[in-house]
Amino acid sequence: MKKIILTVAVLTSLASCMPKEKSIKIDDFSQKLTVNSQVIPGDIMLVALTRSFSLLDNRYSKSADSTKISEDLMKELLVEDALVTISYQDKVDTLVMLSPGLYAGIQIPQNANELYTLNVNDNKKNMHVVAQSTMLEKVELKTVNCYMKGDTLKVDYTFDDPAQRNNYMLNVYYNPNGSGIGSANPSNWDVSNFLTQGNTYASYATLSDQNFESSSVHGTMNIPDFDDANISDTLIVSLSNISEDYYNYLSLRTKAGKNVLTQVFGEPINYPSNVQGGLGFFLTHSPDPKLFIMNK
Amino acid sequence: MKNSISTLLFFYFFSVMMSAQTFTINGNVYDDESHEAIIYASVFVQGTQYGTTTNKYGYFSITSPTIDTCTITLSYMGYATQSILVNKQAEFTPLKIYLKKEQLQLKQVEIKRKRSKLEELHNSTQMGTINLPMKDIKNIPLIAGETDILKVAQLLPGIQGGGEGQSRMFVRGGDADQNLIILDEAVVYNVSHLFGFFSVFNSDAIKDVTIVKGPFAGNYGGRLSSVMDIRMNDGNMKKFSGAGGVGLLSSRLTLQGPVWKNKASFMVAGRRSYIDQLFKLTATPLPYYFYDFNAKFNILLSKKDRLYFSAYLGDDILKVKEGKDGFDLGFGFVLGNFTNSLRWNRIVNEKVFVNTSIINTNFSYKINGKYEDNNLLISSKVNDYGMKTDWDYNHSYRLKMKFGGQAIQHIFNPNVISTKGEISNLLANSKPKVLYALEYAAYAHADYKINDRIDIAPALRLSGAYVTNKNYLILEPRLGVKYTLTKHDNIKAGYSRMGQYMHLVSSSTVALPTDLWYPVTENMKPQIADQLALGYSHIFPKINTSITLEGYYKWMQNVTEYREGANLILNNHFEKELLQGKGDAYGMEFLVKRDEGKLSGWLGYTLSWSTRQFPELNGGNVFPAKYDRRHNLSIVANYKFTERFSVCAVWVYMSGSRFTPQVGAYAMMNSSMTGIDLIPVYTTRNKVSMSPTNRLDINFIFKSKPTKKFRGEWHVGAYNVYNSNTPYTVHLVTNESGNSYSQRGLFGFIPSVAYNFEF
Repeated sequence: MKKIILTVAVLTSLASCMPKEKSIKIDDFSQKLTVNSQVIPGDIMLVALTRSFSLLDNRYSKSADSTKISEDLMKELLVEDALVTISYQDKVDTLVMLSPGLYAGIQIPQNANELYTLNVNDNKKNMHVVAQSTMLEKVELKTVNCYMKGDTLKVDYTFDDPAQRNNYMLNVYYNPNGSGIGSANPSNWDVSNFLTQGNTYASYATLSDQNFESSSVHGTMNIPDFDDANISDTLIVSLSNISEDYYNYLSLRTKAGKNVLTQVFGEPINYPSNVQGGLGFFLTHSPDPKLFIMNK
Repeated sequence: MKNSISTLLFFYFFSVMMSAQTFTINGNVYDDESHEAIIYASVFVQGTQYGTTTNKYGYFSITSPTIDTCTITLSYMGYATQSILVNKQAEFTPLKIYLKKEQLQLKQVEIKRKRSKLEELHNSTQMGTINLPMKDIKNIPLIAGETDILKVAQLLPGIQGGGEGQSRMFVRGGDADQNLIILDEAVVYNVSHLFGFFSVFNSDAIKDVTIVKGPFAGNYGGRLSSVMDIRMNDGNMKKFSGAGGVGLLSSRLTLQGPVWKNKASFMVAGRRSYIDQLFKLTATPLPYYFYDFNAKFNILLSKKDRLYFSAYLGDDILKVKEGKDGFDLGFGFVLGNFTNSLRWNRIVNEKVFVNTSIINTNFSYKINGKYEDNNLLISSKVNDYGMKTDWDYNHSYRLKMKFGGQAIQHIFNPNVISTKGEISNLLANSKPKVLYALEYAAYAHADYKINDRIDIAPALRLSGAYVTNKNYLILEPRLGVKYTLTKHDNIKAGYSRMGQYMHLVSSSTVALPTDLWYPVTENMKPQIADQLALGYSHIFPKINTSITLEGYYKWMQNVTEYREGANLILNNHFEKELLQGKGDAYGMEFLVKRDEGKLSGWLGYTLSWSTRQFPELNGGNVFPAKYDRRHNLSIVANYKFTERFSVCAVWVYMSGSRFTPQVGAYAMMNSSMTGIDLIPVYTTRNKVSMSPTNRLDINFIFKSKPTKKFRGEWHVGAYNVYNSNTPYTVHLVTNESGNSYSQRGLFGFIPSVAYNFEF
């Protein structure tokens, strides 16, 4: 009896068909300007400008293993010859284009609690965006201690949380190549330039002072599956006091990456932006990097 | 105000005066063959318009306008009509009436036209109610030939399924958790097996299914959008009998018979899938199966007392053993329900019938994983202990009342996590606080016949839930009005408010083992829905056909959603991820239904809209609900060529479900400024509809001779005969000639063979 049922079941499954795929026209994309920015300690503000692109552009391709954007498309997405200004107090500074898509303001004072307004006019595509950001008070790490426990890198940190509501981003960097930050000879580099030295990023964490028990913060960041053979003897741990909008954006990025079921079955995430009429973030936070030499 | 009170008093004293000149007959109606109680049998006082129907326990109470004697006529589709002369002396003694099945009736018995269930529903003030005949359900073709009452319900107007083949229902623009599904009074939390593809209800064990979409009568409550009342067979009081079936995915067997002839009977039914056995033949074994077990016992304690005990047990089980079948990972889950209810029917007197139930429901899941020295066990559990009592009071021909109350203690143990080994560094052991919620309700409902044209059914229900630091109370007024235009036409209108104190926590559109029921708390408020409906109904008694047209508008408060990217699994603080907002749903439903005859079935059409609004989602703007399908048309036709050969065909057309496609992307520096992330750009939430779809399913039924002791029937059919695509997902197709979007369907043409039998 069991054999008969199984035979019939197998035969019917063999006779079954998968339905043919059906095409659908979805034409709901409008191109927007995208803003990225970074404050370099000193008086420099970098703004990267690109444009979003439609998935129907055949210079974009995606497979299970890789996502490819053709050089041609990349070039087209970089915003050239835009009029980019940053205004603060009563001053307006025009940024210079360093390379296609990258603009710099080289003498913009970095004052805590100052409101900065970014204006971008992309005349080529007739697009205009505005974004505002307040430079939050720099919060410095008091102590940092890194050590391995099993294959988990543990980063202990302490800092003082100022009175107002704050959100933080904690970044950890290392360099597997033995040069620049993390090299055996840390005296060769300048900690303030760590962003430009091609270092490898290990992990980040976002913190909200709503979860702190006191203004004197001490915590541990765990970076699992960390192969300490990758590092020579030094790490950079950087703390930034970030805006709530950016904190929410980063939290969503973390959630989306972690939750496989949400990725498969859940509703998609439309990420927030502080750019009016555009995408991305105009950021004015100032990181406080600290060097740590590991005892291997 | 004074006038209203005077009118009410007038009606009351008029009713009392009327009742003084009448007498009341009460009793139970049974199937002559099995002594199963017959639900919705029609009872009429001959020569008058005085009539009623039997309730869910086969009991009736009817008032005769005559002084001494009267003849009552009892009828039910498929049974011979029976007339009984009753005199007033028998007033206080409950009658026992046994109806004979038509094919067995003696030729000399006069066949009179019977009032069908369709007529009863037509004549009732209750709107949005559909009764599903079990014999038809068994003929309807479904995936792999498995009978499934939840999927049949999805073919009715106003009820939509989720993804293709899913058992979850979305009624009148509501959500999947807004349907109260009760089996012999016990709530069934998990209604599906195999990730939602098969319902947990074994059709051989089911006697009757009634679905109410609202507006609701006073005795219904606890969910916003629908009540599905499922009754199990009581068990044959006269002789031992059985039924069963062998299908492609599962087999089932039901046995029933007397424990004490004409006094007590039992019914047991079991079903088990053999998906695990099928997959053994493939390169990828899948040690998964599900099973169901139903049992019922009932005993007549006296002429006026009857006791029922019902139980249901069902589990989904996956057990992958580490190191076996090529798996390095030991993994599994057990997910299931256990419900049991003890009910006591008591005929207090000729006018009052009481049912009192003690109910226990248990829903739990356990997920375990093992890899080398690492162990993980996640479990969640809901336990309900409840009691309810429902009183039917037949005051007079004009006034019938229902009143009652219930209390249910819910005990929740969500997300208990136990880990061993290195995994405990990542996932700590946790045993969240047990949550308690005491849900309670009391109601009074009246059906009052103002005159021959106007019937009204006002009701008031007070519901509430007591949770830590908070006591919620909702006053739920309801009103039904029927205006009889002609003997066969009427107009109905209704309003109801419903409160709901439980939410389904699920981040997915399909049923997952990790889906969790969660009570209202201090922060999570109860969901509330108000519904208005207006309808027209016409009945063609000669051809047993009814036509109904209903329009509805439903507005909902505190409906639940989840924050974008919410992680609800292994999250003991998932309440922070839950959001509450508003929902609106409106539409129009059209149904032509014929329950009897050579050609039976229905045509149902729904035109509907459903939207949601949450401050935290979609920029706070209104967006369409996931299953906001504009058009939905189902035709179910059952044609009996001969007594032994019939065919059942289903044709469905529906608009596509909503989704949020990725339409673009942009580059963002990562948080450390050391690399670039490609960030997706989506449309606004649920902006795009997938393509509409249509599908034909067919089933041929060949029966053996009905006079045989062992009767068998072959079901040969196919789901999706012309291999149509019902899209469930959209993906991007990239190639040099141009990128495009394409939709995938899940089930194409699937033939099926099943053998059912009874003896």
